[in-house]
Amino acid sequence: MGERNLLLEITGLHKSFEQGTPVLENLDLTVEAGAIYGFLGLNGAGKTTTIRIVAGLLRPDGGQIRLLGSPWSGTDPAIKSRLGFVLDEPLYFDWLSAREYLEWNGRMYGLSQEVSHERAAELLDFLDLPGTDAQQISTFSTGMKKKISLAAAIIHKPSLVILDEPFEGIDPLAARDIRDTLTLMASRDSTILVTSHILETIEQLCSHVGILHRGRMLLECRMEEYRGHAEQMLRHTETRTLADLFVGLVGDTKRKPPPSYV
Amino acid sequence: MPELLLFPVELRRFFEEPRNCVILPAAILVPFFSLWPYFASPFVPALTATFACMEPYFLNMWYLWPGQLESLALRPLNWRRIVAVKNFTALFLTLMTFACFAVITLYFYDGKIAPATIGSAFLHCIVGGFALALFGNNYSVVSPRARIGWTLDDLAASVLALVVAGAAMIPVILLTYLIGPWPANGALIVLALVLWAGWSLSASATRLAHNIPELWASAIYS
Repeated sequence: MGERNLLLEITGLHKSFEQGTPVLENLDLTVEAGAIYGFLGLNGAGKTTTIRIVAGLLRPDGGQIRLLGSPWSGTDPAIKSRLGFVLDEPLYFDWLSAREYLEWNGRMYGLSQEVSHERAAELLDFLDLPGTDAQQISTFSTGMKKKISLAAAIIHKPSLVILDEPFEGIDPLAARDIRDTLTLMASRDSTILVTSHILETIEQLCSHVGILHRGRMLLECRMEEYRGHAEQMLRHTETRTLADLFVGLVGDTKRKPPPSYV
Repeated sequence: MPELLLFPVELRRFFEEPRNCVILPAAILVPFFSLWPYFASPFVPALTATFACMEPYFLNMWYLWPGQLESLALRPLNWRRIVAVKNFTALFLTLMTFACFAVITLYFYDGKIAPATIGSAFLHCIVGGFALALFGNNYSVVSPRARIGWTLDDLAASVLALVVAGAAMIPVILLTYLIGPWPANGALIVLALVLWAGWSLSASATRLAHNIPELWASAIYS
């Protein structure tokens, strides 16, 4: 087997916050070039912390990150220009119109005014936001804001796109279009890391999957291999879908009773 | 240099920022206070209002809107240039705001104001602005507010801005008495101050740019 071309390689990542509770414990994660990597975990598992560390918004306590073949400290502008992010918190300038923000964002990534203008128009049209291009982003719905964040993340055609819950609040048609776009981008030299709680979407979209639980990676494999892993790891349960595997790995074996007053 | 694109965005935000509504009541009060005979110059209220209103542009320069610093941190930008652009924007807006207050003062002032007094007032505005920029470059990272508004923290920061700007003016006032009146001393003082402050600002921006990823991460997310 030839050597894998790893775009993102995380080794032994540690992070604790002030309270002392470790959020990430010796996390290893590898994303191959051209992959669509589904990064799964329960709320509080450490997905967003991992993404924030990769984005350079948090300092890890320990561990190494290699990004695009180079050691990554979170500051190198040459590497940053090849990354695109949709974070859990909206970071757009919501007093600008969608078109102004996308054009400004494209130019911040070094695109010319013309290219930035063309791509912004195309993205707004693609995301079904053409009539809203002069409207302030602050007046948009949650789903529309998410679309703007996604458009801003891909306007400069990044090598690695990291998306934290990109399908949250998005209507089914837009979700389908976004899935198709991500698949196309992955087939054309981009690599995608995506988190989502919609496991059906992850199973359809992703080529690789990693399951994080309490700051540790429980399983990382190609999507077609997970059933084989499931047979070894969960011998007592039947695993038909990714959701079965996920629940089997991180879920409680016993269901909790509902609140008594209900 | 994509960092320059921050200048028009911040100018636009200046007119959209709800907190900047305080400039309107301040503009009404400034001419009344300018008549108070105990002030050394009729422009003292205009200077006070300017520095109090413009405080966030110096002391909370990374959070003029929520998430601004994080948003900039994700992009492939040069921190030193960002700091320089933000300092320039703050000084530009401060001078513009002071110019508005000064025009209102001139219009309503009951008496003649000598050109030397006007020149001296602008000199003090520049001095205070540079001092605030130097101080704010570090303070805004060490003690950031997630958003700006009308809270007690904002009020305290405005008082701090006035103290810093006021303290910076003391040597200028002393020098003016030593060297002589405007405009003989003005050109010399402005030149010396601009050179000194320009050099200090550059050094401060470089130091901050070097430390900022560490500082803000520990300030905001720890």
